[in-house]
Amino acid sequence: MSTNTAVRTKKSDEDKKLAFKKALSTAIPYLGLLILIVLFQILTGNFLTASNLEAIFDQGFTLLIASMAGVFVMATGNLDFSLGANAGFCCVCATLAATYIHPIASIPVAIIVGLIVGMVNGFAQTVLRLPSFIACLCMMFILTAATQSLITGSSIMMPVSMMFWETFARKLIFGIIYMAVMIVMFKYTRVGKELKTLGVSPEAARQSGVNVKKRIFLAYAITGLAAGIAGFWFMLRTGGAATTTGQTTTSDVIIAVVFGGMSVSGGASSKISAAILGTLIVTVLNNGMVMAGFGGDPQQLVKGLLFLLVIAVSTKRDPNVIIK
Amino acid sequence: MNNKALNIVKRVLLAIALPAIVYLILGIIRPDIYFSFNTLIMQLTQTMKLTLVGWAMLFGMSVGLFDFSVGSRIILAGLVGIHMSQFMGVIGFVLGVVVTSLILAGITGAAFAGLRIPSIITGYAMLLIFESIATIYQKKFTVIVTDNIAIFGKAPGIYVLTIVAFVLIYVVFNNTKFGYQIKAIGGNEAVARSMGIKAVQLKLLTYIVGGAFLSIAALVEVGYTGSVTAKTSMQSMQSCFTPMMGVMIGMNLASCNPVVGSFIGSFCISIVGSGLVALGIESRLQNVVVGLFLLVFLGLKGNSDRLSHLFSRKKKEAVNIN
Amino acid sequence: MKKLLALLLALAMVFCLVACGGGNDEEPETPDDSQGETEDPGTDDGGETPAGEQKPFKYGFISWGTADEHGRTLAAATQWAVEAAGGEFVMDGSAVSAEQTIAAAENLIQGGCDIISFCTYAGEASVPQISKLCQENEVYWTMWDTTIADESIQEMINQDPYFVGTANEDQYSAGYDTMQKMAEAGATDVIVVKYGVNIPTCDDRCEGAYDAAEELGINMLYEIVAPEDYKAAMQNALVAYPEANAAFLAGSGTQSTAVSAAFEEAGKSDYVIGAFDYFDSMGEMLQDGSLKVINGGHMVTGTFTAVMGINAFFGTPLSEEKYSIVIPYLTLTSYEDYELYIEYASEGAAYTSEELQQNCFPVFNPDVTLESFQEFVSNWSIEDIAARKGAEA
Repeated sequence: MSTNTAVRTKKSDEDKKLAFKKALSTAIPYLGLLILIVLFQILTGNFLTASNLEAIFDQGFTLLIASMAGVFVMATGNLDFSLGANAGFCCVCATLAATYIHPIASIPVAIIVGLIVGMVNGFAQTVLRLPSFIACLCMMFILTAATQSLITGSSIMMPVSMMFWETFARKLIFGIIYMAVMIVMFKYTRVGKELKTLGVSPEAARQSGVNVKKRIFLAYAITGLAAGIAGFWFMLRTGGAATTTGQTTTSDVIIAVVFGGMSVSGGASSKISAAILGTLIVTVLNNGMVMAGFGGDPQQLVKGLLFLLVIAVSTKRDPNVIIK
Repeated sequence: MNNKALNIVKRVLLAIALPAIVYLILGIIRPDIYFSFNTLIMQLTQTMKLTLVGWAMLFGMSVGLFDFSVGSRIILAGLVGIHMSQFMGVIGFVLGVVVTSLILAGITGAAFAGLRIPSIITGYAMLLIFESIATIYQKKFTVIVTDNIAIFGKAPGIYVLTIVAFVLIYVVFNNTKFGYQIKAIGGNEAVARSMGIKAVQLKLLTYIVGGAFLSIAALVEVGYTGSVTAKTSMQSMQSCFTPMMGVMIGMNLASCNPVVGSFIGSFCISIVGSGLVALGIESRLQNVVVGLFLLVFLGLKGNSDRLSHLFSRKKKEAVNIN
Repeated sequence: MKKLLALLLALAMVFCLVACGGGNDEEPETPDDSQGETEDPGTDDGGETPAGEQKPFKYGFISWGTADEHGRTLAAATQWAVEAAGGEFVMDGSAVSAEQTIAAAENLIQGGCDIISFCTYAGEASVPQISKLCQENEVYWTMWDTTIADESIQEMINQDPYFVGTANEDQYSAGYDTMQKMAEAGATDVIVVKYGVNIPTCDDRCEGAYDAAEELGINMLYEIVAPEDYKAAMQNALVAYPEANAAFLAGSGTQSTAVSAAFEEAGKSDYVIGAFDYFDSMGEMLQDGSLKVINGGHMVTGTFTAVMGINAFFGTPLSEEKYSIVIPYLTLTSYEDYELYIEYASEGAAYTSEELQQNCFPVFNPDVTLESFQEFVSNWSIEDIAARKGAEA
């Protein structure tokens, strides 16, 4: 009897420890963001002004769109390497549609092209059974080449009348609706839950009745669709499309999501809040460092070291989990 | 006995078939170029450069690790090596490259194993750090490649290094416990762990052994181009995709060993690159062509059961309900 | 539950941010005005202080980084001018895409910069956006290494009171001259190596080279575009075009070593390389003859755009109109040229603070005019450096 209680208390102690650890790893990204904000406010004195917060919102907007969708694929333990190239390609298509058809046409074109690319990615992996990494990598090469050959000169311009499309209010409203849809879909529908189960173990997911192929296809389709939306906003923000549009988006998304406290191996730790939080951290970091005068060589070094630090403290280390 | 020999011949033929067909097609289009000994030698040299980087990644990729920091490590090791060569000549160069490469591989591996984070993320973090260190380093010290370093990048230096690397990697991969454990983990990690293989330590080791082979690749790379330039904003990542595709082809060539396969895969890639030039097509489409090729190849391979099923179904249609 | 809480927190934070940003719509003037007042009292309207005056300022410089020779020297050369005029130099070296260029401009302006300068490295479509941004924040801006090709963009920025002008190199002539010099060195069959896809700077240099080639009867055999491995690409081109005896590198001069190695290994010893953009080992290559012509030294576009922006900020613009200046390349054709460059212009300032103050800024020397400034700019050459430094020494 007494041994039993001893075991029990020991166990509950461990539980507490685990719970504490878990709470800590959840809290770290928030704490990190808070520290960054306080630090930059002290360093620059005018970090928390309305105009700077608007600048941060503007800069993080497309990344937020892309990374929230990226979470869907990442939850399954895969990565969509073509995400950035897809956004760039959609940006080109939207710009061309706006120029040669009608400004309004850019919206459906961007969304449909993005969706199709995402569906092809999903199709290649589910029906053709191609490895995710290779399929997306090849898609990236193809889209990059297509983008480069569609652009004459180093960039193409959207019609000037569209410059006034990008207003703060529109972005805000769209952002809130988009976030609400993504959060609900990931957290409160079967889709998100099943994708997470898939990330833990595809076999277990299959046995519990998840249609694995359908879900993976859907995850890539969502990401593709979001890449299209991101491409559209890219166009509005940069006034058109360039050969470099979206070039760094894939890495930015991965870095943001990890900064936000989610593991790229997906599974149970997947959370849509990581995308929001990570986007904020990355954008604040870029903005604050330049404002504080560290925009030269040290910028990337500090980013890399911080990145390493964040993953070091926020990753759960379970010796039984297979890491690749 | 007879059967065994026949089997070996069959396997060798199968392995060579792929590059041979690609080469033959190009030869038919431009016989003046491709049916020449010099062209073949040049292609082999380019292949060796790709393969050496590929071999450095082969260990990691065999156990499912993708490391994007490889390009930045070559640049940093190359810079330190060239800098050292200004004091100690060729020996300084070799020492600088090998030691730096091993240290960087050790750091990357330690980050991976110590922090238990996925290799792609480790690669990203290290890439950011190594790129900026290389930029700052290049600013501090002007490094100029001297002529004697070029021996590593051209015949016979590159041949010697490739053969040495080949022998080493072949032995390590096929005849050591390390190589055997790599295959076990690459096959099925959970089973391998239950057999008592320490997966994390082994993966750390793949980084370090990979780093040793990467130092050979860096020696060749610096000698081959005659210069090293730091890159920022993750642009060094681009350089690892091509060798990576070579390894992927190699790992999927069922008829031969991945070590040899990587070479064959890289050979196909460099022929495609040169073929595009010979046809007057822009050479930057190389990755697109290779990518599509890889997709078709893997698609056929991954679906061979279904394809054969499709062909045999016609006969069985009457009986088969499925 | 915890997750829900976390999510709520995240949402709250975002809404907080959004609310702060939203408030901005109503009162955009207040923070900017107070900023302007503390930093440059009473000088915003040129009418009140007609002569203009030197005052402290922050200069924001946007580039793709400092990993390459051009990026490195550009940042340094811009800093010469900023410091000569008594300002603070701030840079953002992460602008590799249009999106990041805009973000860099925003961040530098938020950081209190009074003048910014950038280049349309990632395409010119984003120029109107930056113009809009600078007008909103009353920040002067210039572009280096840039000419705007699109007329509607040019028209738009001409309306912008804060746009000062551009500085660029005469790419076409430089390409033309380089090809001519290559022809003199014996080039007859040329392979063109482009460092990027659809980059106007690169394409203009090539256009000049092609025109020169046509006049001189030189064969342009093949174009290599943005290869990953320059040596392999060159080798492949040499196999397909064995008659080639020259290469025209429209940029990324550092790859000259790779191109030269490809020639050597193809068994050619008599080849001609003409290139753009300096690199570390060009001295050795000029000495052993493997490199015949190298164009560079255009980091002074940074210096001179800084001069243009700073003068506008001081209230002493060199011209009431928008203007662009053209900067000659420092063309090196011998080891002696190289030695001169290294000694006087590479690491330290090619111009001393006094030289810049006396020749570029009306606040220091009232005799400076647009014409005298343009003359000063067009003197930029190896001979000029030798003469100025020789006199001092």
